[in-house]
Amino acid sequence: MGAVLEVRGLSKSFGGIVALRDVSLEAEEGEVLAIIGPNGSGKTTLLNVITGVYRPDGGGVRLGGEQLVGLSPAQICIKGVARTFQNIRLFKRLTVLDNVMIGQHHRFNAGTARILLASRRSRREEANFAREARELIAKVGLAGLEHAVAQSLPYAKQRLLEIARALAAAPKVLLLDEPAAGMNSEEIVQLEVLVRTLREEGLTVIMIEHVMDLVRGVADRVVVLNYGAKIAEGSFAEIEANPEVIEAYLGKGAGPCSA
Amino acid sequence: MIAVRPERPKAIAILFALLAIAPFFLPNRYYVYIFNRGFANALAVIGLVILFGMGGQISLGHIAFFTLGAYTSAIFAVRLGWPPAAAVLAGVAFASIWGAFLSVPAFKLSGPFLSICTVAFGEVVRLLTINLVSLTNGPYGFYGIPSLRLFGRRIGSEKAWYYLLWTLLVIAILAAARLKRSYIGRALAAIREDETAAEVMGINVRAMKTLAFVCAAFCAGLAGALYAHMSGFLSPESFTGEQSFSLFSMTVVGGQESVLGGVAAGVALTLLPELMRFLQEYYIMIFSLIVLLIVLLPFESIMERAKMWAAGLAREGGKVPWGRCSK
Repeated sequence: MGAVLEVRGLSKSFGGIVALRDVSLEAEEGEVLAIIGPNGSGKTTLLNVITGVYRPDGGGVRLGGEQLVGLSPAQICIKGVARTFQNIRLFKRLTVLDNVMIGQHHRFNAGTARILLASRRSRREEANFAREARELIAKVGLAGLEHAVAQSLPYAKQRLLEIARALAAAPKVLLLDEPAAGMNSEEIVQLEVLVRTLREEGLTVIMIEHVMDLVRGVADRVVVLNYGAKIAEGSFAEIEANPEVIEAYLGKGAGPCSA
Repeated sequence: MIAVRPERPKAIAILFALLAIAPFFLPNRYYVYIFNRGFANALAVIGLVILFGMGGQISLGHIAFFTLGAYTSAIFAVRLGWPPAAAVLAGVAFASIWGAFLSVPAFKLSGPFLSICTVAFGEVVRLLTINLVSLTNGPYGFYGIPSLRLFGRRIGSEKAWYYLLWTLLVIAILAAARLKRSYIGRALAAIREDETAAEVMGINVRAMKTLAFVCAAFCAGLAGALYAHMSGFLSPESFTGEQSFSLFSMTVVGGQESVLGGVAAGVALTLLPELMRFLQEYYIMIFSLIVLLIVLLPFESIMERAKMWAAGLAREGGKVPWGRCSK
């Protein structure tokens, strides 16, 4: 068991605002790592830097020892890092099945000529990927909605569809940006089961989350960010008792015994 | 929740069978020629359906690729003495190369900025056809372009052209439909919907944009090159910005994403002005009004409307509800 994803000394500023300050963390193979922190603490920026949407000012990101900084978002996805978005970015007017199959894009092999000739190989490839996509749709709990248009789905189902789309890229590391936002308690339980299943299958999951019940339920380790810097790391129980974390969330003078 | 249904292959097959026998029922050769013009336009529109409808990239100078294909083929055939079929291939290749070049600004630009860029490209090509007199014969027009020869037979009559263009059109429709349903078509749709998300999902956005522009330029270039040999005469006046907008409106009227819709609109909007000749100078007004109505009225597109009609007939015994197709 080694670190699959390794973030070293990552920094990123926007003008005068420091969004990430020398952040380092590691995600072990097959673990669920939760990243928590107050709003504006740099969690989403961290995800954007890892996936190549932003270029860091300093530091590095390694996937299985391979440097990701400098690669395009598409290349990083192909290397094995897939993500979801905090403010859902599905392909709204496309069907559920199309959304998931777009996630599989880089795994297709048939060349343009084969597609135009509808060669047997390209048709078989399409059929195989369609079957796999349907399985993924069923796995996240959207079976029967394959031909529904993405934007017509209720909010929670759109979040699940984003997860299916990310899984379709066959990633080594899955990054989830507030997957439980806007979900009711029942839906959160369903999400928790899904994340557990993914961990059991050996997938590494890095999850930004505000819903502490979910973090407590699935996270093997928790990293806390505040003002762009890592202030704590450990199990949920350790984090919960950490005075610095409590201060970040509740302010100075607050503590487990006060109030 | 809205579901998306596959298209109806049977109805389409019947439609194309009808088109196959149409020349025998047309009153005279002139109408066959107009159909040929319509087929050529439809071919160019298929390219725009791929570029704009599927990929969301605007080209408002699309006639430029048609022009490049036409003039290049004519120059190769007349000035260099190439066999017309080879000249057509050269024309298509040249237009496609320029399609690849024009995709470069699309890496950075989108929406109105990209459309201005494509309008400029269209104007540059138009002005070159006027001013490169030694190559294009400028405003006097390019005469004496030989007709096509295929498999030792000269494509001379309007009917022969009709069947050649019709065959190519069917092939192009099949190819475009296959592209649309493939991972490439889905990637183009992804770029149209959300470019950043597409990139994050592992799609090489630049490569896909270049592919879309090359496809569009290929179709328009082919249409142009064939047109050159079909009409035998080229004039810069036939390839103005107006023509670009005309191709674009055909694409939009046909429902943007629909290959068949685009083809239907391409043929129909080429025939319509001919059928409205009796209106004389008022025709452009009426014609524009018809296009405007089709685009602005509750109908999302000809095809959508037709589908709704068919569905409505089946469900409610002939009643079609008014109002925008629910999407």
